[in-house]
Amino acid sequence: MITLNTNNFGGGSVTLKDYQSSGLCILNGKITVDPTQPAYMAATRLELDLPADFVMGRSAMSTAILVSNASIYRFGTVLHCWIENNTLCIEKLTAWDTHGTYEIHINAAFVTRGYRGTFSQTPTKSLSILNTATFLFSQYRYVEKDDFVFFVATFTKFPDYNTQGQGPFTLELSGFASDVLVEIPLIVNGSEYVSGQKGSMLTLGTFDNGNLTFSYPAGATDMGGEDSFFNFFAVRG
Amino acid sequence: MKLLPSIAFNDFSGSAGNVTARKTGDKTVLSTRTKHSRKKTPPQATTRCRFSDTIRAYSRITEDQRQGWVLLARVFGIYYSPYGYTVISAPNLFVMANTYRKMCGRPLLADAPFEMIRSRQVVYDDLWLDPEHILLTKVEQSADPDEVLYVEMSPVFSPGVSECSNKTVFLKACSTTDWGDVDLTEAYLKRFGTPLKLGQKVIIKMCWLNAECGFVSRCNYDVYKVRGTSQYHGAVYYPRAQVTMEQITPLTEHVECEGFDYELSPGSKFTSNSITLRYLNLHLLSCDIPHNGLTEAFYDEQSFQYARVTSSIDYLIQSIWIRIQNSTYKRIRFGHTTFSLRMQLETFGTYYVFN
Repeated sequence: MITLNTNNFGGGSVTLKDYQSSGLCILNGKITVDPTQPAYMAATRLELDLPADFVMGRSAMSTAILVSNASIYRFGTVLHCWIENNTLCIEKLTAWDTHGTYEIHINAAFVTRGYRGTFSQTPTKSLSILNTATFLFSQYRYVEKDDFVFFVATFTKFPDYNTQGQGPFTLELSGFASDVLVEIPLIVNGSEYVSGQKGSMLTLGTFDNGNLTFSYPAGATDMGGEDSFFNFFAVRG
Repeated sequence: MKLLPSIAFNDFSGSAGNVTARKTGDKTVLSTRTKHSRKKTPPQATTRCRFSDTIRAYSRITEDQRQGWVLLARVFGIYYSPYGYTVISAPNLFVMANTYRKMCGRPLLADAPFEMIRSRQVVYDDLWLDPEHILLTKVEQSADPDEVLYVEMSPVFSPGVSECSNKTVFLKACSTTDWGDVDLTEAYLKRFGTPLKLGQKVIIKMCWLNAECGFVSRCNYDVYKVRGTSQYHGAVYYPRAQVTMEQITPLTEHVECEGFDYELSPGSKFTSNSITLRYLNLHLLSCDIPHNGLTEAFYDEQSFQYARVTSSIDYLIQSIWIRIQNSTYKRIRFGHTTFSLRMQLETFGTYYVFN
């Protein structure tokens, strides 16, 4: 765990789960942002100071997910996120500021560039869905390393609010690391779009003991279903 | 139009064009201007003009300002050069600081600064010096935003020369490296006109220079022989696994690629990228753009990424896969799982790459 005590947007301390090596870092955690803070309003991008002994002073471009406080659907989007001068930098988007305090979820890898040499192939591991009546992969890739995992999946079968209600739902997996505990945003766009919509419908899910659990908010329509997906890195242990 | 005095009139003085006449006793001596008479190239002339302009500027500063430079020279006036310890005078310190400041794009400094931060040597891992590449790798990045990597070079025309640091001319001043790489190839060609030749000797002078102070003190001065392998590790040139706009055909029937910056990193294999696309046809699950050949680090690999729609529904998140083929097909394929609304999108981030 690392703690980021200072930032430029008037937020409190942030604790992130971390994996660090000189060429690769993985960060997991959630940052709360209050758009009414004067410091936030003055900032052009969000900056959080990393600990002085953080191994990577600069990274290539990575991602974070903004989860707004918009009613029911918590619309949000993917943000640019990177490390620069020992500072974690996040793109500032004001599209959902009127909905109040929002969250930024970081479940991403950070790498350096400038490598010259050979590469080896990325080893993948197979997973099986145990409750195939509710979930079916369209495609997925799962990488399991000693210290972290990467998991991207799109679905042909995924719970749909209109037909299956709020849940909670559990994606039961065989083969996924049981020591991963992480909260991730799920992109659950549905098949229709709300008038004037900005961003994607999001809900939060938690991987715990090898399974993913999530639910939909009350009062939603057309949320989830096929083409829902997620994409994340998570530190193990 | 100038009226030139005739030599038939032997009692005159003054200048016309490049000719100056002066009276010495009862004789009139005519002379032509000798300024920069030994210049060989336009860059040399530019450098000398820059130098003489700065010298003239010293005569225009106030006495108080001059005293400031005198005081500064007293404190920082002794420094070590390749020729031993050197004492520098106030005018020389003024000229040196402002000449280097000018080369780093800074304006003339009339008031002496409070301190003179000396330049320092450059630490780097290797250097490719061949007819196609002049490239420093793993250059230690400076943490000081005022520091620039200052480089001078000169080809050596006589094979017997092994030390002539005062013959180098300014090549490039850059504030950042490209992930440790500093590519001097283009700057060298622009400056000297012809590429290096195998076997030729080259002098390189470089330092991390505080551009505010312009105080060149400690530098790397090295003479290298141009050869087919790198200077320190003896490695054949090997490019980074990158794809940029220069390597693709950005406009096809179905899509226009407005930005493409893609690179592989080890462990096992990651991509970090930033790509901007404008679709010309809404109803496509996938489309291709051709590339004109990539390094052998690419064969056939794909990454699964987040994309952000920038038209229709702003900020809508979509899943996109990017497949780079560099064997039978020379193309980059963008694929989606839905037909949904996207005229323009950007995809970026760091992801695993799969074969």
